[in-house]
Amino acid sequence: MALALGFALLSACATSRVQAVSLLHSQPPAVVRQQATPLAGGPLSAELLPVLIHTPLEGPLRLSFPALAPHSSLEALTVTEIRPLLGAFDSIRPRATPRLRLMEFPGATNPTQGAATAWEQRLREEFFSLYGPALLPVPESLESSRLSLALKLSTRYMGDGIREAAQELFNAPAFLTSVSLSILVYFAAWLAPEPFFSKAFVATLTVRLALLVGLVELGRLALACLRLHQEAEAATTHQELEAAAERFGRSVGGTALRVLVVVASLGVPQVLPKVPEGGLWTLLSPLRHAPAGGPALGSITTVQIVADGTLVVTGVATGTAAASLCGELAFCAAMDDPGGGPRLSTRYGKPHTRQNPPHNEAIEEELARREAAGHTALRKNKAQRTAQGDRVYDSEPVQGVRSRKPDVTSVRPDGVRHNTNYVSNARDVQRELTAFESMIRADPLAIHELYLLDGTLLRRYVPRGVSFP
Amino acid sequence: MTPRPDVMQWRQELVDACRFGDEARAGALVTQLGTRKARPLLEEMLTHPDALVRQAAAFGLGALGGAASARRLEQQLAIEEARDADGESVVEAITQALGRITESGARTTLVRRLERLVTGKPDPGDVSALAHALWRKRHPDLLPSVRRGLKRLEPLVSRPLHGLLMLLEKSPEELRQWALDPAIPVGHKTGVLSVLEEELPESLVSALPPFISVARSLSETAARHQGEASYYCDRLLILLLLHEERVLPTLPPESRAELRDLARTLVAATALNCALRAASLLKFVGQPEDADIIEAHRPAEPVLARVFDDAARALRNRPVTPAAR
Repeated sequence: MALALGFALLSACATSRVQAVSLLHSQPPAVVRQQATPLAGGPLSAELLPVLIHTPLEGPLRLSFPALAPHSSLEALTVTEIRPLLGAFDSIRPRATPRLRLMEFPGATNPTQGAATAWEQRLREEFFSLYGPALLPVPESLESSRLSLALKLSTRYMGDGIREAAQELFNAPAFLTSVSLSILVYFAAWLAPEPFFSKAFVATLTVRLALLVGLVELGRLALACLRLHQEAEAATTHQELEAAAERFGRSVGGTALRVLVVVASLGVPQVLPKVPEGGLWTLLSPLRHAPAGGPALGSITTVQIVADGTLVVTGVATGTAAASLCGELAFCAAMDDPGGGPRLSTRYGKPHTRQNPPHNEAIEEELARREAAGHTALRKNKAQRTAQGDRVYDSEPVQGVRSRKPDVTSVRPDGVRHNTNYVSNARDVQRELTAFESMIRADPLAIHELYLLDGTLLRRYVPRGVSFP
Repeated sequence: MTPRPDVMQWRQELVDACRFGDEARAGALVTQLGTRKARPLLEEMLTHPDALVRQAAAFGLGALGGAASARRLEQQLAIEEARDADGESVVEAITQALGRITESGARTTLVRRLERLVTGKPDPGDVSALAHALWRKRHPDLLPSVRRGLKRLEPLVSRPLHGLLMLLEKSPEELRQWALDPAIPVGHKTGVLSVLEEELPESLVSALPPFISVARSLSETAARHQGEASYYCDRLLILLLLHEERVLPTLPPESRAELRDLARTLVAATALNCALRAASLLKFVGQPEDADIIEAHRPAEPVLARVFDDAARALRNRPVTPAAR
């Protein structure tokens, strides 16, 4: 059940940032244009998630999301923030007055208790109308289902910053039922290897959520919900149900809880007239107002989450500006995928120079060779450093230049730093030779090489006592 | 729209200067143009697809400084981090540029970068670059973030950050005592020295003599083996050479004498980095008779040999300084 995509997204969270992001960018980027949102230059824009939008000459847009930690301001949720929602949900189905109640575990012979009440039936119809039919079996009564019970139990295990608000919310029967429905009709779609949302409302919702909290956070929540559903259904004792609830409760942070609230509340707009969508979205924005999405959001028809962790969006016209899609939801940069012309490899870093593709390819090929040979700390056009990672300086600087940037650098398995430069332009040979000598002086313990682009070796320095190759 | 030829030329010169590490030239190009003209050009350059151009733009905005530059670089940092490998070199350039900007917003951006960086397995070079930039923004507010970051990093990667923490926590006098404490691992002291390479405040110049004494005590080991001791000595010599005009004349005579002894020992070191730096340092703290020992250990490799030759020649042409004897 742990779908491949969910696994990939969660792996992205667990591994290093570099690894995580590389999952999201399997294709070398090309031309990048940054949007000028109304917030660009403002202090708040830095709070927004940076998102890359790949805009091919033809075909759908692809959105890539960085694997960033949730925004700290979203990681707590207070009762005050959700009070208007509580009132609205309580108006659908008032919560039971506190009294001693025997919580009966819905066993195998008694999976639910009774049929759905009228208010629950109405909620179901609203959800199915907006989100489409349920993708998992819906119990006769959600209010007394194992899923609802597990959700309610899970609040005990949530963090201090959200527990109180979560308990208030999950004690509201209508909210609890809405969350259960969200899992059955929306998050259940994430079971597919590459989830596809063909309903415009759901597709747009997915894009908005991803722009606000990132695809990794969204995928993590979906997986947690699905695991809870699976474990609750499989539980045969109260202890097993409690354990499932505990796993879920501990995995849900403030951002995830906020997403749950938004998804659950959006499913019942007809019965929540006092809580408009604009109000709800404030829950997911580090801005202090509901962020406006771009006008192009309204034209989204389908969305697919593909295995490399990108969102493929259809319905948005080719050439649409990043700002027109993202608005205030995220800090977006558009990236033109090249239709023709040489595609420059960027596996190990930026294209060294777009005007000179062979130079870039020579660098990439060299780095690939070194990676295959077990080198580490592969770097491209970054400051010269020792094998330990400290910056090095020429103690006899020429014209005051103390620090250089090798085209290619790595650390061999035996711990020796290996720097290589390529002469990209014949007029620069003398400057490159000067840089080569400077790099030797800066780090005489490293191997240094200078090549022409055709592979001709101009100079090589190998420290004494070091074997080469 | 294609930029005007003079703008294109200015931009190309700036990019070339940054690419070849000529920061003085790059800074002069930005200054010549003036803030009003340079800022829009640099901000435009930040959107260029070629990362060399974006690196130059980041440098330029760092040179201009100001809250507007800090904000723009913070936005660009988020974009470049999202670009993955494509933006790594620009991230490094932005980190350095933010370190140069005095506005407190730049410090906040760097702290956020640290918090993101330590969640993964960062390259030691990236941690070092960030520790250096944070040292330029030194402030007690940094302490909690640096401590949190240290807890998450492996010891081999965390050395510069540990060095930064020591520098933030300790007064100059405490740092002197700390340097002399034999219970403190040499690697930690090396971390302090490497961070000070970025910027050596006047108040800490007086803390250097104990570090020189430690190097003197390690010099025999450092000369024989390439290891922790030689690396410590190398970083000390790098630090002193980077700031030689300001530091060497102010050292007390006994420290200068220790330094000369250290350099005379290290010029014969197996580790060529130490030997080379020692030869360069002897130009400043040595005596004419030290030329012989330099020549005796002159390496065969021509580039390195020139450094030894230059040092020996400089010493021979120099009058004897009694104070250094």
